Amino acid sequence: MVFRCGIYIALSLLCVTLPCFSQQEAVDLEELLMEALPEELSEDVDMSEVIDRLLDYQKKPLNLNTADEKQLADLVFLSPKQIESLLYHRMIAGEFLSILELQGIRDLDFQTIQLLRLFVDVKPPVLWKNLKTKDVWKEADQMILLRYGRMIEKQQGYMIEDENRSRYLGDPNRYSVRYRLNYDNKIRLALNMEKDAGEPFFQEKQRLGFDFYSGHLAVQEINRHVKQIVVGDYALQFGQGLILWNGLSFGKSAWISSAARQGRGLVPYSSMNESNFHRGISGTFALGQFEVTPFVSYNRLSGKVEPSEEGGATITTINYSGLHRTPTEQSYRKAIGQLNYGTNIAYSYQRLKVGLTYLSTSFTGTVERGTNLYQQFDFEGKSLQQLGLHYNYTYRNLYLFGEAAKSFGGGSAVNSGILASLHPKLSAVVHYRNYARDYRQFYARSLGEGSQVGNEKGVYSGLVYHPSRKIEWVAYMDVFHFPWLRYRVDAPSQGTDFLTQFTYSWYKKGAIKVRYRQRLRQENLLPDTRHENLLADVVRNQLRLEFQYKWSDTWSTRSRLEGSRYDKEQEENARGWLIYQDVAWRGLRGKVQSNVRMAFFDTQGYNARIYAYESNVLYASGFPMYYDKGIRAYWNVRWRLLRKMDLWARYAITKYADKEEIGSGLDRIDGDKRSDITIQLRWQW
Amino acid sequence: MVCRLIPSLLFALNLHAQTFNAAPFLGMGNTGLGQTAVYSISNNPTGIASLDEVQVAAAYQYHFLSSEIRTQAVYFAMPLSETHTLALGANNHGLQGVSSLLTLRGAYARCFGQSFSAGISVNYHRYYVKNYDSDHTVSLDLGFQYAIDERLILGALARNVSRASYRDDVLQYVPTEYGMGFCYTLVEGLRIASDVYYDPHTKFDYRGGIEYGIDSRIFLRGGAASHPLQYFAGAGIVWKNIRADMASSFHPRLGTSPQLALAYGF
Repeated sequence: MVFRCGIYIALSLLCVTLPCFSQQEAVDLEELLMEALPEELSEDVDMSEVIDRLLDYQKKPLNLNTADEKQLADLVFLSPKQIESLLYHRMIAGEFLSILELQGIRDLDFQTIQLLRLFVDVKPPVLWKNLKTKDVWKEADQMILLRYGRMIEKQQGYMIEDENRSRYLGDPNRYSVRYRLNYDNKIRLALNMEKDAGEPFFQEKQRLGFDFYSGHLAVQEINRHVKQIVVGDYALQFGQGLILWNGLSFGKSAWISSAARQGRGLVPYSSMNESNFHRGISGTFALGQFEVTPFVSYNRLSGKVEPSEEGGATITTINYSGLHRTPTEQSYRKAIGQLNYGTNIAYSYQRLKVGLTYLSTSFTGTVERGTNLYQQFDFEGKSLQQLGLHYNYTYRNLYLFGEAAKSFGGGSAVNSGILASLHPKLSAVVHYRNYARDYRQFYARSLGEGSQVGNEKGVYSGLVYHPSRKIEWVAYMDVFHFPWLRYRVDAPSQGTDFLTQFTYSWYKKGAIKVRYRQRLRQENLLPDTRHENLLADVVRNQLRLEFQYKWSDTWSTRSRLEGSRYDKEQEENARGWLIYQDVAWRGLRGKVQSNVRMAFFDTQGYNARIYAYESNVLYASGFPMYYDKGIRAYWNVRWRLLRKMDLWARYAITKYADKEEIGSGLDRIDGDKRSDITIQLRWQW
Repeated sequence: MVCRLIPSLLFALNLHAQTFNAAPFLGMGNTGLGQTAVYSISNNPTGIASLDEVQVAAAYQYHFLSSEIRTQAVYFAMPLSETHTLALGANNHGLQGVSSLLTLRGAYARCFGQSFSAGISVNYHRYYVKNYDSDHTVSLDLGFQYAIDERLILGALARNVSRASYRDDVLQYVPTEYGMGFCYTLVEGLRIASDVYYDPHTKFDYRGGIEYGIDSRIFLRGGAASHPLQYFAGAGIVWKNIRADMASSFHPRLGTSPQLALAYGF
């Protein structure tokens, strides 16, 4: 104890030299996460489940003395190796006396500690026996958030009146409601409601109003054995995601360490994504060194169901988009029942953790696979069973991780990797994956090039080097092979993905980034002289220069110049560039924050498209694509109306050059511009 | 048919054959321009300048596991004084009993002061396919190294500055390439290296690698190169005057090419 007090005093003295990092300091959490997400994710990726949790921890910091591995995994910027080191430090040295002790943990670098301090603290644990319902209701943080948005120009789908044609049955307005209750990270209650553009509201199959409702009640740390119970919607993340990984999936990115996944286990679901979650009940129970998470859920999926000749039902399409706007989409809505049940059993011994996951998925009909040759190994049948084993182990400065899974009646999937802190300034990761072409799954998300876990082999390796606090250099390379055919690829194919990024930062002021990425994939090519497809190399090169700087407490800017080049062997070459300028302003004693963007882009078609992060109202940021030629601008404002009330508003417009219509099909707009407004109101108490 | 196939195969592997790198360099992503070792004879000859003892070495590589293509190499380096070093090397690549690409090297390197050193290598190349064809030529390589400090060494190489070539009807060529690279020791036991080569035929080739010492005797290595895109990995052990290294390249199409190298210092 005396020794620990000595360390504490020494660290306190050390800390005097460190700049104070206020809890109140605004950190753009969405922007932070965007660094870790692959840009190719869809434009409307919903990060709210992660943002929600981080906001919770900003308000009610996680107690370093009680936080477990899964809670620390909520802080997605921590690598599994850092989490393991933090917990090991607590095990060896006993409870934290101060947050300053973080500086004594080997794997936590300066930048990580500064970020971590926003979300954690050291305090006595909250005890259930002292809790009264009245206190919970009174002391809990609650929030209600209302959002409205719509595209201003009318799309073709709203103008069709012929009832025999496909059309949007609802109006172009988008509505969503979020309610949250959080009592000291112990009790969480949430309710989400959403209507997408084009979906009926209090009409058709949405007679109850919104198209999507979601909610949960989660209770944590009930006693020594009951770690968590969730009733309602929840997500499951186990091992490396070869069987179960709901929610956001971090893959290849400038966050090299995200290759090693830290499963958060059972997580209450708070996202607006209408698929890839579970609706039912689950809990996590601790029995000595074992932790058991049984779960059962019944989900209603959208898809096409037809009567089969044998008298049952045949499922020919499952639609995960969550959109129910047209008569066809309406007829698909909740047409399929899906029952999931299973369990995860995890065992920990010192620095080794081993887990076993079992998942059974069954449908109310027989899923029929497509008839194309590339779909030959897809799932077909009424039910699927999967079993997997995952591990992680820390040996000195090495973190080893991996998972092996088997789909009954099909193939297996294996991945394994090492995350090594070779030096306080240099870390490396190597990750191997081998997913059989007939490995079947519905909820797997793991590191890979394809959108599904299956039909892929590859080796991913990366390095991150911090020669000083100001400089960071990151590089990764992924070499992969698809052993079976894929969509628009009529033969086994292969590819590579290489990224390097250099960052020079001024602490809390700004940064310059230079990023180069090259991706090679193979696709069909049909030369004039042949009757069958050949494979052609498709190379995408991307070079990005970015400068961001905080000029004062009021003004900050970000500038980006990006070029892209697309080359398909013997067929097509395309070039593109994007330049934008963001200006952010914060005034009236922080009550009003505003940012604007002006972007110019010119690409030779869709193939040379460029993705760029766009700031939006809270929970709505994403990576829209820029392609063809035009100007895009947006204006965001956040106004703290009252101490407990915030208002966001956004207006965005894209004006294309030389276009008389934008988009196609029901989304087509006559004209050369597309604009969108969003208004959001949050009340917290 | 076989006679046509074999030269074609060898042509495809031409560069690989004539720019043979021993296991310690191979494992670090086929780098070596900024490194110093007896194995520098077949890389940047300047790397032998700082040797302070006579060293001999041999290497054996088995290409792509499923084929019969092998490379054998021997090295000998002898410091004449603190600033002058002389070396000899030979490597032979080919299908045993059928074809051979032999390179004999004579190298000389000299230190100019504490930081700068230069090296030259005269290479005899012989191309031979049994009952088919043969030819020979002589090329010249020039190399330089500059030690910015004890931890960072920059290296440069001009390979085949004499523009040597085989006859026009021979399906082989002696590569002409220019390279620049470095080797940086972060701390004792941890090094990173990177080289960039330019070849008028194959354009740029970027290489990078890392070496990590588990302790002072055992080393793990890994790396990657862009042309062709492939991974490398290796390990080495040092025991008294003996140094044993193994490494392999992992080509995504052609497969694994393991190599073993042994060196002894007198």
